[in-house]
Amino acid sequence: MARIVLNRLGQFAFILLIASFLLFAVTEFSPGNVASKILGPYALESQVRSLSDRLGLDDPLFTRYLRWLGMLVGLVPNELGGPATGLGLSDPRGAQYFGNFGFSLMQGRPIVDVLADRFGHTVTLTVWAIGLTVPISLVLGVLAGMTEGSALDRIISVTTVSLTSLPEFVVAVLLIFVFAASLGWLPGTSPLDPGDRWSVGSQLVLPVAVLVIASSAYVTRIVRSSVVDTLAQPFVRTARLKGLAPMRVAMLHVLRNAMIAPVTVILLQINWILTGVVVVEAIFAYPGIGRLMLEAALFGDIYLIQALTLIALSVAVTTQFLGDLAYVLLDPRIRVA
Amino acid sequence: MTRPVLEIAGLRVAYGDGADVLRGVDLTIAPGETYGLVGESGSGKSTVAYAVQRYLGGGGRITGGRILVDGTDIGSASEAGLRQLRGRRMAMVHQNPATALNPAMRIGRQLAETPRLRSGEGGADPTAAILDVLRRVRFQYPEQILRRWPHQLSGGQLQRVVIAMALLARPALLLLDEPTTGLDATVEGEVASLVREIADQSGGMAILYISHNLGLIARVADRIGVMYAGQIVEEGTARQVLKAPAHPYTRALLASLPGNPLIPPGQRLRTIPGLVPRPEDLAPGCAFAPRCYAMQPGLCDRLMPLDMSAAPGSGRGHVARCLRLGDAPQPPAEAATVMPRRRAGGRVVDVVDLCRSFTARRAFGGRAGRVVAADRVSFAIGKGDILSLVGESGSGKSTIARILTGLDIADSGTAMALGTDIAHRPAETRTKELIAAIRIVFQNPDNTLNPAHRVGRILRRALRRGGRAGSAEEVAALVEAVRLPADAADRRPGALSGGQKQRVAIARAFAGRADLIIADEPVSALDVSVQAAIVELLRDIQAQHGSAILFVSHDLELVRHISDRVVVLYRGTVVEQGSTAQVFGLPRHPYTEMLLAAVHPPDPDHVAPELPACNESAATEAPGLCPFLPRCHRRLPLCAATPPPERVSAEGHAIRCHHAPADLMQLLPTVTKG
Repeated sequence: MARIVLNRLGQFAFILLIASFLLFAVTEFSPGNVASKILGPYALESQVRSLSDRLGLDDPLFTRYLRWLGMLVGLVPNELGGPATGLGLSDPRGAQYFGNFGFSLMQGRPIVDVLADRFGHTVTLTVWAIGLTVPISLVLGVLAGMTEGSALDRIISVTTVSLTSLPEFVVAVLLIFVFAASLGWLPGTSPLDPGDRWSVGSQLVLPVAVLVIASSAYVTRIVRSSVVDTLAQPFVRTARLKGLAPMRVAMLHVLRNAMIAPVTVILLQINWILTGVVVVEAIFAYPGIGRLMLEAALFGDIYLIQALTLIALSVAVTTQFLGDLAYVLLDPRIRVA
Repeated sequence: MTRPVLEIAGLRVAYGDGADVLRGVDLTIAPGETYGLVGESGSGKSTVAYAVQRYLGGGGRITGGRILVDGTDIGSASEAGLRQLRGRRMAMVHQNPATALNPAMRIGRQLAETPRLRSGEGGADPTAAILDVLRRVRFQYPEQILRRWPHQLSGGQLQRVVIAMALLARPALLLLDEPTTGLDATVEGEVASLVREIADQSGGMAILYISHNLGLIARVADRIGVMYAGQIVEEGTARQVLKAPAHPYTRALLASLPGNPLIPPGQRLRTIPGLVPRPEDLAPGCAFAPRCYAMQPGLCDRLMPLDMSAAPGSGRGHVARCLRLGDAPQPPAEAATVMPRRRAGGRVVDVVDLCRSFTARRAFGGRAGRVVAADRVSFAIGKGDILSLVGESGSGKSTIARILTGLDIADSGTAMALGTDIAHRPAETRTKELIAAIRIVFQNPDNTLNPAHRVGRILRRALRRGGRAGSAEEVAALVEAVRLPADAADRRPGALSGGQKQRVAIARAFAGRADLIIADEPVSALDVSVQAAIVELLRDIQAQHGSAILFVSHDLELVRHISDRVVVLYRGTVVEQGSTAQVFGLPRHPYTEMLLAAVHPPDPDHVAPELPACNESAATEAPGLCPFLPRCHRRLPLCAATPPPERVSAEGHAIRCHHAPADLMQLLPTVTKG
């Protein structure tokens, strides 16, 4: 078991390394010169030239990748720091530390600091959304699957199909229209401004609701079909014909086997929300990773884009790893002795 | 007379809005009795077992009749009452043990569920009882089995676990639905003899044993019921039904089996025309009338034989549902004799030292070890010959067939055909001539024909690939050659029965001028009554074309019936090869001996030779040594030290064994049935 985990971890580290190179290479194609972006529109050609030289912007791609990686793991100091650029003066960690993504051109702050605020917000959103999605979709999916063909099943199935076919922004706009614009119960945007006791909480309700509706409709359908498939397995027939009570059959024989497929989907949902639901965060003006990604892209903040993409990659790889681990725990056939 | 454990009267069952699948089944089983229910697929035999447990699925319902289990009416029992019966008074063993157990629960826990049901969660620890039952189903180390997951056991072991699970319920009625279908013949025999042993020791347990295999039924059943199209058409003791069958269907079925002693090898098998009818296609009159050799126009096709009548000249309790019971003749002998075949001499394929092994992979990419599918396999197929490859699953039969057709390539060795080595040439690199020369007929006709294409198109393509024009006349001739109805060319495979689809597959194989047809278990997926006709068709066309056939099969009686030469494989190694008479005669390799001991003809008086038990754990496998060593009952000390030599007799009979041929001449002692 431990060997499987280590083996898998090694594989993921390798994947991350390859992917980080690819993303570094791809961001090369973004328009604009980094040095002129840093120095602003009124910089002289010679100034841009000299900063380019200092940053090594004309070095070969692979050299620059290694320098970026070295900076990230704390082996190489950040060349951009210092009075010359006016950046990094405020970084109390110095120019060389682990997790050094460099400076956000857009905000003029170390990227770790920018991420720390925003990522925390997105995690809050994720925890609430997934924390509600999982129980809701398990209960609805199992109910529908167990009573396949019944009125309850049909109601659940039709509702979930309609909800999955609605894009999130439609749901978001509808909810804003009803609860913010018409009823006025909740704020229509969620910039997480601190106010009175319930202010932040009330700003969370609508974005979380949109995510829960989108995710749980999808996950419910997966759970339902997995339960239906498992119920048709001969071993369930064996269990029933053994004379076991229906509850025992459901809990012991059906559920564990039916959970294998939904686990991946749930982890994909976590991945989806955690790496920034750009549209939802943009609509609600929610200060999370997704909106940050949008802003960075519009500004052309290349270091921030690289940092965000690398984080998205790590999240994807980690959820994948957790999914594999869950498989191993749920399905003994994978755990070949 | 004591009250029967199972009493079924006039049972009718339908699925959805369809016609009745069971059309009035009457059946009683007394305590301690084993009742064998035989029938082909679609006869309704499994429906009987599920109806008894009132577990017919969503669409099924009992439309008439009554079922009493131990005096309780199943039809009117409440759900809770039914559960009481299921866990305590009756238990079922299904086909395909691999899917019958929960893959995510250890064997011990799954077994413990049944005794817990009886004693409640807080009851006595059931482990002692479980271990006891596991010993009864012949596990040497039952403690180890408890900790295992289902995927860690073999098919035979799993089925014994499922039987143990059923026995733990201490049922009054044990239902077994095709418990050995899909298992190897040697394992099949083991399970059957286990069922017999359980029946003998059970002290009053009634057993309903359902199978399509008459040989197995003969081995386990006291009484037999023969089902056809939703009715029991004949019933009696095993000896009455199998030795003096009264109903024409039973007679024809027994006569069509390749092991029939009346038909010596080389002669034609007796075939039953037509197909098993679907319930909605039943015409008035006797359901078997359209296929019956004894059908009397004006009688059998108009009146339905409602009652079972006593078979004349037979003992008490032997009844059959036939209007001509008194005067129905025995099935007629086949008029045509086997066509003389051209055996021109020369070889179609010459296989020398063929090797192929696979790396078994673990989850997450680890290596689990090598699986040897072919280890220095050598044999040759003469022009116009039928050569059979026999062996259990995992013996490498199919791998060799796949290499010859180009679906796989060998690691080393050669296979010379048409002057080239085909062992390393995948189909996509083969010339048109080569592909046309070596054709294959697969096991399952259901998924080897493109369902979207009409039969005519399938055959036209095959004809063109074989270098012919593919004209409508040629297609029609091909359709006729495989005795399909003339309009078959306009239909799609979905509209054909399994046997008809296999005829299309055969027509496709013979469309070009194939030198070699590889037939991979061509009849094992078909109904018993259809098998003989397909086998004979294959032989007829083969004789006409002068093609050779590589016949892959696990059915030794069939192999004996049709082959010229036989190659016996065990784990990729040829342990014996020779002419059919040589391989089925003496001396024989211990493995061939084991395979032949597992063959059971449909004769309740047949005495199976009992192989001496061998201690499997005593021997280990090692590369180079005899692969059969761990299971061999004739093991010598020498076997664990050096690889066995291949001894070839002057007549070309090769056996790979340390024993001298003279030692292998002795037959094993037989043990009388208990």
